[in-house]
Amino acid sequence: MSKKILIVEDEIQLVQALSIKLKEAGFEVLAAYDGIQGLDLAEKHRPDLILCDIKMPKMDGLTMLEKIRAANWGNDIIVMMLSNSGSKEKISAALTNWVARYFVKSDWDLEKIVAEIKKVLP
Amino acid sequence: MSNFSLHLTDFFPLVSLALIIFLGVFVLRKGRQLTLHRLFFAVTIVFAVWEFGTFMMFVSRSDYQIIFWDRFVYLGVVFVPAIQYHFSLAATFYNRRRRALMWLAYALSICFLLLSRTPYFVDEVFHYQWGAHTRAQLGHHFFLAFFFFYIFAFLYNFIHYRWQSKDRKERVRAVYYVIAFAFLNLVGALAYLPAYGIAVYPVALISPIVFCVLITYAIVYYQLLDVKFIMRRYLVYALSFVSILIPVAIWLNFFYQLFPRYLVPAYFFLLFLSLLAFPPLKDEYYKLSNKYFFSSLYDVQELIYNLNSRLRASLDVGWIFRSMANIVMPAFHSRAMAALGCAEDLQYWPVLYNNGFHCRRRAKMFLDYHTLNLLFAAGRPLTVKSINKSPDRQFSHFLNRLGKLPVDVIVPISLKKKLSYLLFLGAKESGESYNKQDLAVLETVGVEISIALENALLYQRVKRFNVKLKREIKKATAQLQEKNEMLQKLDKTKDEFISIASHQLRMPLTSIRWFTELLAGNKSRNLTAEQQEFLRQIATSNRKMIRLVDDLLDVSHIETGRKFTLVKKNLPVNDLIKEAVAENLHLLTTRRLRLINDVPADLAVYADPDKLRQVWQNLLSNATKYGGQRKQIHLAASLKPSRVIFSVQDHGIGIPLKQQPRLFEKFFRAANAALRDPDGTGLGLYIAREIVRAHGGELWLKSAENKGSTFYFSLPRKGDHYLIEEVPRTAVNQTAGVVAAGEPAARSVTNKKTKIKRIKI
Repeated sequence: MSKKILIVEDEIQLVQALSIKLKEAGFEVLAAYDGIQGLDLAEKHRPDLILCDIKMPKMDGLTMLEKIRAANWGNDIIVMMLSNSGSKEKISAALTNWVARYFVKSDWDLEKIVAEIKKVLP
Repeated sequence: MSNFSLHLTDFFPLVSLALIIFLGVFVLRKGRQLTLHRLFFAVTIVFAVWEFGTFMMFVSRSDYQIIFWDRFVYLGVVFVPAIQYHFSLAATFYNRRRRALMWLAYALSICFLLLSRTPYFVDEVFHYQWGAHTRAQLGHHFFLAFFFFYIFAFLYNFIHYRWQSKDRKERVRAVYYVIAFAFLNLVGALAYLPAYGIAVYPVALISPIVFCVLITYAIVYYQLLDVKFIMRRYLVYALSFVSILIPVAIWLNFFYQLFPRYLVPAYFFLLFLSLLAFPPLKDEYYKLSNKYFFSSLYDVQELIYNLNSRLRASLDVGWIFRSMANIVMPAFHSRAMAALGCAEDLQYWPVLYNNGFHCRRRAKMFLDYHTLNLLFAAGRPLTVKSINKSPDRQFSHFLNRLGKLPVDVIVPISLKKKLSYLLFLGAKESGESYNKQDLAVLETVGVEISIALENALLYQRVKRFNVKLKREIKKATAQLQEKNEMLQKLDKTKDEFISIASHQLRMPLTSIRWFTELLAGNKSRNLTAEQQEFLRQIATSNRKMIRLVDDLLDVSHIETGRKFTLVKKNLPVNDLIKEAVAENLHLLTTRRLRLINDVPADLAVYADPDKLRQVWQNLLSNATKYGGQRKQIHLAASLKPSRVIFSVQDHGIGIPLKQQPRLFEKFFRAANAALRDPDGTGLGLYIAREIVRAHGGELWLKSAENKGSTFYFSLPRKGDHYLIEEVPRTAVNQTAGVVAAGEPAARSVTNKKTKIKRIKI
């Protein structure tokens, strides 16, 4: 059974590009466009990994992450953060909630992101 | 026979004579040009004639002599009413009726003078216990009527004047006149009694003494100075003289009766004794007079000393005037005191201090140039009386204005050769005028005040300057605060810009990057080689753009003073190098550059991975860009006790020596570099150095044009925090190609058992 990955990202184009690449790599991909939707899908589908943007409408990524970690089902989900800013404050805030990886989107190729994911989801 | 003995009463006329002559001469000397003084002198002369004649009459033995001296007495006495009446007019005022009465008095005096030479006036001699007098005849009765008529007339003149006059001083003066002349004439008139056969103690003959005391005081009241002092001296001498004369007379009398033969040596002996006794007696009387009559007199030295110590206590102008008034006013018994200050333009003089004068609270006085000049030229206290004598019309105009204030003395005070203050002193309570000593004291007071004022003004100026300075500082601080707030706002705007730039610019760039990557993946395998090359070009430009945005954001972070937030971890240096090499691989291969890496494989540093990678990337990118063709790039690390120094050496174009100092300025590009790579931003080295510095290290270079450059950067090795010897060997680290530091906090990512290997450095 293929692993489930949830992408939570408000930029549709990026979601598109990511999901194409991840599907190619053989993952099952779910997509949400804001924090609330992301939380909803995460609870429903219990994905193996969440790729999550930080700045999003309705609910931002860090808040969503906090809620997931607070839920009893969300403790084991691997979360990787996607972000536009290299602001270290946000990174450290993310790290306190057990974030596996932190990507500054523009610095990373899809290929490498997939490689990173494969490291943790063989 | 009493004719040959000397009685005490015989000396009354002598003493009176001496005093009244003395007084007359004194008054005349003090005001020779004034009619009033001349008339007074005339009055004293006629009374002197009376006293002298009477004395001679007392010591005469024959009736013939007595009649002779009595007629001599009337030489003066006939003029007594006329001259006194004249005097009263001079002291008060003239009118036609009064003038007519006066001339009538003189005419009648002449008549009686002629009459007195005949036996119809006085004849025969009346001897009595204390002397002798001629008997009055018919003419004398008329004379007596004339005498009393005029006496009462001139007394009436003074009394009338007393009620009419509005000036207080004049009224007091009139009272003195009335009392003095009434005493002189009415008591003196007792001397007529023997002429009608009534023997009376010759008290009349001492009336001039009392008169002298009173009248001197009254006449000289406001006309002359030194009244009190002259009076005192006068009184003291008179008293001393009388005190010696009385015992001498008694002793002479005694001697004469006991040892008439030794009278001449006794005279000399008593003269000698008198001369000896006079000085100590005089001193005693001085003391007594000071104690009982002149207690209001102040001690000059004490006054100046008090003033001095009071003035030293404060630097406040108001205080200076107040303390001066508190000390000077009681000393002089001045009724009022005011201080006028000079306004800047010298046009008017506001009243700064007022104690006693009747004027408005914020009164001011206009003084013309002329007046000021006069006051300034005087440079010392002036009495209004003395100014009054000045014929200057301008000044009398000024004094008319002053007339509303009863000012007696004006003390000009100059500061720095400029007339700055005027002190006005009102009349003394006693009604006396200010004497020479008072003026001298006031002059000293003026000097003291001017010094104190100068100090006070200087202090004020310093204080004002201080206040101004404080205000300026406050203003400047407020401005700075405003600027600061503005800057903070600007900073916030900048933050917003950074946030917008990072999000809005990076999002499309990422999108381009990823879709280009997908396209370049060539899944459908239908892209031509040319199309694939185009995609590579797009990817290169895209990365360049991303790098530029990153650099600009870094610069903006540095500029706003936030530098970098470093998230440090253990980093194998070679992983960073590999990544940087991968970034620049394309250029390295096209230029056929040989990369030699001498950095120990197991060397790890404790640093921020993203930032340190950026440093390596920047340096390596520079080395490849400017390293020439087919040359070597040498990477090395050297370990020092306190730091580790990395170096990137190329053998390319180098950097001109002149431009080396500017190399780390942002946006600066060396001339030869700009020729070779027009796209560079000139930010790389600036950012690299800032990153190294944020880690506590330093970045520098050695370079020679056309020979190559070596860039060095150091990282500190203090303790375990900056350079540690642990290399965590995680699954992540073992992955070749992609270098990413392992995240120990990621529970599900890494196996937490990391092998730790110590490296000997």
